[in-house]
Amino acid sequence: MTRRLLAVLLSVLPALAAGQGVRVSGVSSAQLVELRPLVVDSAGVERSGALVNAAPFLQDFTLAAWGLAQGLSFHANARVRTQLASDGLVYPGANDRFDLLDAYAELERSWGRARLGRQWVMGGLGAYDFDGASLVLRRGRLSAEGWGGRALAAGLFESHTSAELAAVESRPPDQDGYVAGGRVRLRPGPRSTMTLQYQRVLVADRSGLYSERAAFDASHQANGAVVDLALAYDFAGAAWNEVRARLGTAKLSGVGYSVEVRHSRPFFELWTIWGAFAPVGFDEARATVDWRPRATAVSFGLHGGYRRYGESNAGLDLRTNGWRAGADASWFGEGALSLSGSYDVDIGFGASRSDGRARVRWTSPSGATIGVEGSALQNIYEFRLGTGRVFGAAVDGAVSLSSDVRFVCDAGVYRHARSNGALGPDWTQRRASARLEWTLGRDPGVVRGKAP
Amino acid sequence: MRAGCVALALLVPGVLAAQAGGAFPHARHASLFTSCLECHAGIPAGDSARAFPAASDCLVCHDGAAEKRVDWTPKAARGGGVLVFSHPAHAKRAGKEATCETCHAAGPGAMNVARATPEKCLSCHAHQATAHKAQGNNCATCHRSGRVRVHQAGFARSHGAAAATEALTCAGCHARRFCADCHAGERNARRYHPANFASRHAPEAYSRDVACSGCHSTEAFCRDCHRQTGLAAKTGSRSTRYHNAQPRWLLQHGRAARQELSTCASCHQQSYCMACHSDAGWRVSPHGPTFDAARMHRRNPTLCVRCHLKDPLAGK
Repeated sequence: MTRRLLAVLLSVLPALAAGQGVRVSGVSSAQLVELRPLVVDSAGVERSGALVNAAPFLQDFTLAAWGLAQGLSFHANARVRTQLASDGLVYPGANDRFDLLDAYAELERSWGRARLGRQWVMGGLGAYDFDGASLVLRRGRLSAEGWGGRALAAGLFESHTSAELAAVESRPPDQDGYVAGGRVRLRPGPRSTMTLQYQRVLVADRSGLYSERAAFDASHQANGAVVDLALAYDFAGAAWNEVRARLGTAKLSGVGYSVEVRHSRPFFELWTIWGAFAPVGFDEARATVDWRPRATAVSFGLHGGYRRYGESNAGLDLRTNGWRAGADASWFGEGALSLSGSYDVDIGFGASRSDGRARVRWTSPSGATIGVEGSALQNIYEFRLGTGRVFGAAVDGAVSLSSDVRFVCDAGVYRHARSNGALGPDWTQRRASARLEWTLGRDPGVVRGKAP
Repeated sequence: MRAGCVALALLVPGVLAAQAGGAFPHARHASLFTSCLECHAGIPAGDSARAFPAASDCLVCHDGAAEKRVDWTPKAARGGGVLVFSHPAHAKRAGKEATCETCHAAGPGAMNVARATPEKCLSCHAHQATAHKAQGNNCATCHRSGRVRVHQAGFARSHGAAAATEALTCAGCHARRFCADCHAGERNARRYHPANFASRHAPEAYSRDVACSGCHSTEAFCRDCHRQTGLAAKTGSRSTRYHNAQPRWLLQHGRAARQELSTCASCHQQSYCMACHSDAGWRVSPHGPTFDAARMHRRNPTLCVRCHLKDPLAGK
């Protein structure tokens, strides 16, 4: 299907070229990733194996064409992957050489918006990709949107029956899915808005559903304060996947805060058996405080949270709560220098961590930046994979070569200092990446005169 | 649902608190001033010290006798915002093409004013792409990037509601691909995850600070990497002793799975669990007391026969 979509894309290119404007931008990025796979030796002891590395290369293309007719434009996002080098490690997804993230024609007018092609719906249920059509109708403070088409597997940009999914799952879905959904958005006032969304993904042969969910999101702002409410419900599991309420304020007398309560339970599509395992969720309360003394360039932040899991009715004693806390500080100088640092602890039943970092960043008058970062990390308590600490040092930089070309790079070394005589995995690794961002074509920008 | 009740209890006073206070009541003072420049003389000149009136100006009337005293302090000069906008440059055109009211009039009547909106800008500066948020527009024409702290701390993890409701129009400042940079499965243009995240991401995955599956395919991304690095079994049997810190793991894993099943799925295929939890295996039921078999059967009856040799609810 991706090939068919690519063919459609290529076939419309001449028409696009005849339009009044075409703009293509791209991000070319390469990484060097080192990892040490775990192996079990002949004595049954878990150790780090030999260092392996991968050098994935990603090329993203973004195309926009306009001027074909009033309000009509064409958009596409494509991603090409390959590995520049590989020493025993294939970066996840590197074998999937091409992804068409989206490719659609759009008609944008005062009454609403229509899209046809591969596109995303972003909302309270997350990001859903599909090949199909969507229509938004606007009337005053109310807008309604509907969409439908062939669903794609989440985060994969491929159909449910694609080879990419079958390669990592011995029992992949044997049917594609079709998505149908809609949402209504209302703005009761200039600073209040709410959205109700419903969506189902049907199995292609209509024998059942892959998912049926709804979400409600609301937000209200006033005088620098914002109140958010987010709800997501899974009809198949009869469970709330997400219940979240958050109150945040802008800085009053230099102090800003937010408090949040949340219930979270994972969601699984019905092509997997996981939903039948009766997962439980957790309830969490979180708070943040930020302080920026007046007329200073310094800011401080504190955050903390506590979560408790629901009754699982299974297994023996295992931690059923968790907490996290952290502090950060930053200083933005009048000139080009900035300093920042943070320390965080996250203690839970599955994995726990304590880590800190400090960073210095310098920005030149031309906008070029260079930064240096030091870090220390410790995985502690349950399920730990190592003993000791991982110390890291990294540098990064960015420079604009022209108004349409920017180069960014970073490199880091991480050394695992194990406790006295400790066995187990070695987390000593190196990472590096380089990225070139570029743009070609006309700048739609702005012109004087009335809107067309 | 206790969390939901607590959420609503938090929401209501939050909304009420957020409603408190207010901006300067321009309309109520309409009869006193004939020109915006009487209070905002510094704006067309770019003089931030005179952009707002001094508190002492209010005391001329609000002296506690003629009018009640008010507690008002001039706003700090904003400057350095996210918009590439110059009041002085626009003021040079005042009287020709633009006046204060061109952008700030909220309706008929003197001093019926409001903040300028993007639509006001577009009444003169029209996009050739025909839409404010059209992909490919050069955002830098109007929007400034760099070290401007627009969002509150922690916005990267809490922006879901704002984006879902369009309380903030993300695309008003960010090019549309900005979302794809984080939500399209691989780190690419933006450094969403901190450095060395591959070594430190396990706690985030367990506590679902942000759900991995919001951007990545659990199977094709997480499991693929975990298999290659020896965390997950490459075949049906376990290849490493990942759970070696838990000597009673076999007895504990049920609770761990119920509490964070998505992390199990980031290593194990369904067939691995079905070796015990299916009719073809040891027939150990994984269903908890809250499991509603009939409800799930109505949504997808073929799901049941993945583990059960016969449809357990057929004919019921």
